[in-house]
Amino acid sequence: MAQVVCKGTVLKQTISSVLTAVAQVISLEVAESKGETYEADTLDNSGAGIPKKPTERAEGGDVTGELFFDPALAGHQAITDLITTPALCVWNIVFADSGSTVLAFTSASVGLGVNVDLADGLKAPFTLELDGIPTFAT
Amino acid sequence: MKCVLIRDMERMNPEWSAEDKIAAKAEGRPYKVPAILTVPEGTEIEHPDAYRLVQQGVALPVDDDCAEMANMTEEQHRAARQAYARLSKGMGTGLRRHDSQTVVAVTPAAAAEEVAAPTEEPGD
Repeated sequence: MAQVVCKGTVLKQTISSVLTAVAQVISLEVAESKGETYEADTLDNSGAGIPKKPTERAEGGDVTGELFFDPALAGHQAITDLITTPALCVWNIVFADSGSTVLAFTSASVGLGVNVDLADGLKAPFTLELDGIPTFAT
Repeated sequence: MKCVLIRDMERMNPEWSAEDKIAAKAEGRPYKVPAILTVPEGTEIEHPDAYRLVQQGVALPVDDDCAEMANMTEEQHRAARQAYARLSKGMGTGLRRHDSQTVVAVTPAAAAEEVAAPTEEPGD
């Protein structure tokens, strides 16, 4: 058991079949993945509780984040390449724990915006919509 | 176009399957297929985006198309290599292209020489 620091976490994108680190990432958020359910209630249910059952599907959600954007940087251009030429892409988040545990996922679509603010550096929020669910280290 | 890796990289193992891993766990047996494979230094990669690996500082061009698309001087490539060495260890750093001139100094010939005698990267 350990409390793992976030500093040192690396986001990697597959470019030409090779996982390469993305520069200047500030934050990452892996949205809650959740098993899908349906309401299994019936008219003859004697209890007040609404029964639910799994559909045996799970929603992967999105991975979102923010980076200091350098429009001339090859690594950042490789991300916007996925907007102009959409394709599935495999990503890794390598945590800064002692075992460098990896969270792997595939993006089905990529979004990236640019925030220009006098009082801040040039930043780009990005969204990676998942194909399936992330691969948890279980 | 083609490039050659100048450092060990990684890729997802196409044989690895999350479904198989979950099934193995449910059946109480180990799943021994590694998720990530090492792509060793010296591996040649042929891909339309191979120049991106050159620009990232992890590869050198093998053919003229790759060198032309990468559009980097040797100085720029050296800076990219050093930046990537830090980045891959979680020490994020930016790399600005120094200018917009089209100077193709990183050539396939230079690539061959550099692979034969790789430049030592500080802290790598």
